[in-house]
Amino acid sequence: MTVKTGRRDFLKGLIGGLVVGGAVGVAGSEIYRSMIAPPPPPVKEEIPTSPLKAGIQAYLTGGGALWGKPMMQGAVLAIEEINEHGGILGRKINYVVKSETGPEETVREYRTMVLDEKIDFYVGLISSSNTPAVGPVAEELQTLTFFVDGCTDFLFEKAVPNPRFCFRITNIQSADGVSAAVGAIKLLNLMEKDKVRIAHIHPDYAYGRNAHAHMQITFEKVLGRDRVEVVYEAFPGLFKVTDFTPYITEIIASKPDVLASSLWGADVVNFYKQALGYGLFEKMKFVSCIAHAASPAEAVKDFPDGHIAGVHANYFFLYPEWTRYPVNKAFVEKYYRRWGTYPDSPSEGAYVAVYMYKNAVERAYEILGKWPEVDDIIKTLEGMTIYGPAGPIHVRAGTPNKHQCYKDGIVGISKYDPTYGFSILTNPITIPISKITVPEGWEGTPDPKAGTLAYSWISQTWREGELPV
Amino acid sequence: MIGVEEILIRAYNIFFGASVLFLISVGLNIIYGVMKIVNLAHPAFFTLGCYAVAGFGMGIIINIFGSSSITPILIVPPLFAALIVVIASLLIFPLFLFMSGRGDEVQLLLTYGLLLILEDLFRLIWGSEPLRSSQPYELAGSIYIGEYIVPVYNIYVIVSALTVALLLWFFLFKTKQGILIRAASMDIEMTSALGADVRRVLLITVLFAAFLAGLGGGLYIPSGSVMLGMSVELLVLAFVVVVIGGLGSFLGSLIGSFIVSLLRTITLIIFPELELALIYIVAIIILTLKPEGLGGGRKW
Repeated sequence: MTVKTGRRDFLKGLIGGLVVGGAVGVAGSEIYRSMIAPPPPPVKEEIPTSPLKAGIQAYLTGGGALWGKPMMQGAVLAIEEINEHGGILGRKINYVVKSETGPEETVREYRTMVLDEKIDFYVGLISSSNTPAVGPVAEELQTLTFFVDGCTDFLFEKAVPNPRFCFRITNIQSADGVSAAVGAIKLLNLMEKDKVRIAHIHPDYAYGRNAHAHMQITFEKVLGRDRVEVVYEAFPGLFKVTDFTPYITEIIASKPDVLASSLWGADVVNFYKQALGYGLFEKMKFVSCIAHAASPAEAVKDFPDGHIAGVHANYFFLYPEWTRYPVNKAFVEKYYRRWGTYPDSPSEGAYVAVYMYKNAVERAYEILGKWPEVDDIIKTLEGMTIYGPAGPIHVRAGTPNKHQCYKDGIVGISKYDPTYGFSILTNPITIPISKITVPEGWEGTPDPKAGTLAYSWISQTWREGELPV
Repeated sequence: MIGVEEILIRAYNIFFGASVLFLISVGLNIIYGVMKIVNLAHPAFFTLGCYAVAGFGMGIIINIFGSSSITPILIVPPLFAALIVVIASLLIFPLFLFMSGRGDEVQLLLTYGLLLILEDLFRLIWGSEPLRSSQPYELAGSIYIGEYIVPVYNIYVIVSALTVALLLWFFLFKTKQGILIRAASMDIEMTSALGADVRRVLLITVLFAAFLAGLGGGLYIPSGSVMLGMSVELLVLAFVVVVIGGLGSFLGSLIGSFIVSLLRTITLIIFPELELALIYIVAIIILTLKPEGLGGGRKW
């Protein structure tokens, strides 16, 4: 059956079509225009003029001061710089500094800063004993909290599994042990040895236990379980031991090829000074995941050459090389001018933390047109990447380890450098963080013994006898 | 298999550890013996000795004697440290007079307060970073025991501690001042009644304890480092030493230091995990079975 269209119908249709088409055309061009043209600027509300207040909490005494002092200096440098340039959207930053000590006292000081000092954001902590204690309090008091270190996997896997207010700048702790072990295997050519005898010495608390577990599983996985023999293990109390000579003797007597260690602060200083007198460094390779990480001018002044220099999988001021990466060069110069010494992992971390806050506030302001609420800042931080002195650093938005920051790790070989007057990290190798840490979205359960997801992830997904990077 | 070398080198470590502990705890014991004051601030004097050398003493000494002449660099720092600590203790001697004869709670509060004040002074003067002064340790070098290498400096510390112990024994038992100190420790009123200047005896006691702490600090620092908070750690160790050895007795310090050092080395060979625990367990057992300590029960 054919349908005949009459003249009247045709005209009707033509007019109707033109009307509809015109309307669609007009609407379409409107939509198109709205797609390519910038949105009308949100009506910007006035920014409060009152200054912001930052809370800084760092070890200022005891064996941890080698870390706490540079951390405070990094944060203060960032704040002073920002203030010099007019503050964050015109708001200057004031700051208050409190001491980091044991968990109980540290939490008490944290509460004081939030409740009495009314801080807007917080930058602090070195110890892995303290972040799991302060984390839940930060969530309870709803205060934007940047942990510079206190890197334990336990924080975002168990203590605060679904954080809103806590973020952590340093690489996760398991990555620290894994980086050092992978670095040692590559730099010392351990893959070529038939058998590797390993001794361990770590501080006796969360950090040391974690470093021990992840260095060991990495050696076992990459070298093969049969090729690794543990000959001695010791866990001296953190900053409790001043005389390491009995340990040194036992380590030498057990004749290891490699001494894996996460001693830090004053402990590593006492240990290596005393070990020098016992000739320990001529008899084995010392694999430290952390010795070069903080205050190298004081901590590793005359550290022996040719051993594995770990920087807590974070930062050493010579890398990324200054000529290639101006952000680092600028940071080192500014830090040196301000403090008369070179920056390190904790100072870089604290510096990045302050800038991360600034970036998030400014980005949120661009979108919202008003000074952002804390939740707006949090949303902006999640998934954000910024370029810090150590390179790009990314804030994880999803689980596991939500709100943990990630950047590539670095390991090298120790060498005394007369230009600087202390031992530096040379022959650097970069360890891509994505290859050595649990990725976003991995659904495993923490290893019952080591207590971390990373341990399970390595033992379940790495192929034995193969380097991951 | 443990050979002769292994035994020798461990014995060497045990003696070194015991020497340091002895130098820390002996002054604590002397002050308690005479004045019945548990001087919680005593380890801070040891720490002050360390700071005196690492903070500025070693610089001065090297300026005067040069950096390569071994004898003065070994001998002068501990004496210098002792001098500084003696001067410091002179300044706070009135506090000791005030405390003498008062209740335990007054003494504990005052001496612990003094320890905290001293720690803060250290921070004010020398900052918060650990300090070192290892020139003597490096200059003394190392020697071989079989295939093991050991630092010579530790031998020097052991010999010095032994010398101090011998001189101390001679002083306490053979000189008039020493006999007066022991007399005062047994019955201060009787000593006074017999015509001895008790105030002077107390002054000598305090200065003497300070001298030993300073000497110990100056001897120890080249082999380690000094940091804030160290006084508290040392206090705990010194207490374990006197609990095991016996409070108020010179012999107690010797026995206690040796036992603590021995226990430490043995646990580190057999089961490192138990290092501190075992020392405390032994302290608890001794406190329960023999509260006066192994060297106690007898005076000096």
